[in-house]
Amino acid sequence: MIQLDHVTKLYGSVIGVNDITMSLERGAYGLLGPNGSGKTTLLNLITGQLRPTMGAVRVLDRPPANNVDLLRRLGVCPEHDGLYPGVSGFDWVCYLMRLHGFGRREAVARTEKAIDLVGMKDAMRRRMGGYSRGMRQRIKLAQALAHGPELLILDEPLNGLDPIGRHEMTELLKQWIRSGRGLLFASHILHEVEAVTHSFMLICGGRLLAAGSSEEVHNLLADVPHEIRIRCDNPSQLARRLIDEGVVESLRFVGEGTLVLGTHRPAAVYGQLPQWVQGSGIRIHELRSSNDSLQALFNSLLKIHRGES
Amino acid sequence: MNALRSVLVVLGFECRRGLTPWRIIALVGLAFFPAALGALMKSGGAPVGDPERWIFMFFILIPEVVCLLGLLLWATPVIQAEVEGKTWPYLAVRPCGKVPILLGKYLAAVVWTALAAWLALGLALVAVTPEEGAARAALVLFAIVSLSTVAYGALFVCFGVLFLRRAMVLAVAYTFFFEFMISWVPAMVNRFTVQYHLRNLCAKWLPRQYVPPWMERFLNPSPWYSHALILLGMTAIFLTAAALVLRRRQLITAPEV
Repeated sequence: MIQLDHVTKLYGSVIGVNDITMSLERGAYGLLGPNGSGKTTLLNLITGQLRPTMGAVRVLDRPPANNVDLLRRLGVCPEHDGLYPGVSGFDWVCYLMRLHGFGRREAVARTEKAIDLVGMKDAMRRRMGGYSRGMRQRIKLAQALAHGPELLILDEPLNGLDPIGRHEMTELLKQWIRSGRGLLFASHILHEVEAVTHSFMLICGGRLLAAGSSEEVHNLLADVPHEIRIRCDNPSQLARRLIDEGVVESLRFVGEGTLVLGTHRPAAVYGQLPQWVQGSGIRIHELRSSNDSLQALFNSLLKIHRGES
Repeated sequence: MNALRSVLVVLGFECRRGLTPWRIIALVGLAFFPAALGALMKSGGAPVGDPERWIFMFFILIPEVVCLLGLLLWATPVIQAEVEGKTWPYLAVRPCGKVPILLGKYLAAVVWTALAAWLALGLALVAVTPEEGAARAALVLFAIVSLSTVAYGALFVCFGVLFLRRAMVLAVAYTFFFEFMISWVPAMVNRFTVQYHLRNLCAKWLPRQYVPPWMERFLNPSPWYSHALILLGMTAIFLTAAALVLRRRQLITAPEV
């Protein structure tokens, strides 16, 4: 479905995408990365809006730049809300369908169907300037779906949707995947992607850090020290206790009364910490995993990628 | 055929989308400005009804000022507005996308400007009430206005594609230097300006007695159709250049680096 061969994209001296090689078979993939990681650049390379500085891109067996045949088969939902405020959602989607080459009648029928599918039928005649963020996301999705593409490329499609809207859109995308068509879904929120597909590509700093199923990514992380942040009364005494127990890979003190512990045995720490501190007079106020944040996960992967871990 | 249909789709969409209070105010303002100036001069006792005067005055005010202002406003930013409004990525991924959008938006800018200029011409004629030769001169100015809109529109669209940032400033600078100054230099270089050919066409289409004698030295003996063909050729070159650059150009709204 998508092949990238040592693709690098430079903006002057700044690297947008750094030597990415990958081959994706037909299916659904989540492109996961923090903001500014190169996701949009990668999607722009795939849709042909950008040309690689080095390397080659092929999508559905064709080079994407200015490829009319390929564009007929792609549905693209960019991240930005570039909507004409004075135009109704219906008129906009219909206009884009006309630019897709459909006649007036066909464009109207496809527009109505797509707008109905994303649940915007009641508001389709309203001007888009008055749409909420969630409505804009829905109408953006409608224009990407309306022509029945083979491959749907979505950049942060669930941004701004309320929980019900997210659920509906997630179900819609799952239905899309079940129909056997391709999906590439970029997001910076792990559970958004996980709710739709279990095939991940993790990108950070313009590099493809890991790819595979969620289990494979978790296995990859097993070797990375797990960070636990502990806020307590006497952090130096707790630090000595943890060193004695042999669970410490790294230790650092953050502010007053907070200890950040790096360990390969997080389960032991979580399970036995109450026993270790019992009778020592140390009171634990807060215990949380630093690795909950996606950025921490990416930092860990970036370290692996650089050979630092 | 599909591309032509797409151009017409964009033209229709852009004409409807442009129907805003701001656009109407700008159009009316442009249309009334030459008439207001003519009426002011007339009320001040200036002999503006004299054909030599009103024809020259409105040749400067309408094809050179009204058309240029309208096109600067509506033709120069055709692509820049889409990029800045972040609407470009939705358009550029359509099979009939980039070039038909450029041409459709160009035609929409031409239509809006021509409407303002034709209205300006009609109002100006009413304001100065010409003494003689009004019908012939009005027809000539109508044709000049139409050609001016088409040629300058293509020039400014080309500027808008070549220079996405500060296109309007560069277009104004170019217009002042080349179209208003170089075009009056009696040398080969003035033939590369739109104004030179418009001026020649105006002089050739008008009865001889209405052309001021001092203008003779700035005219060319070539037949009128050669100037018309050159103008149409320039239009085609500007639009082709804009289309080629647009096809090659990587227009991204926010480089994520």
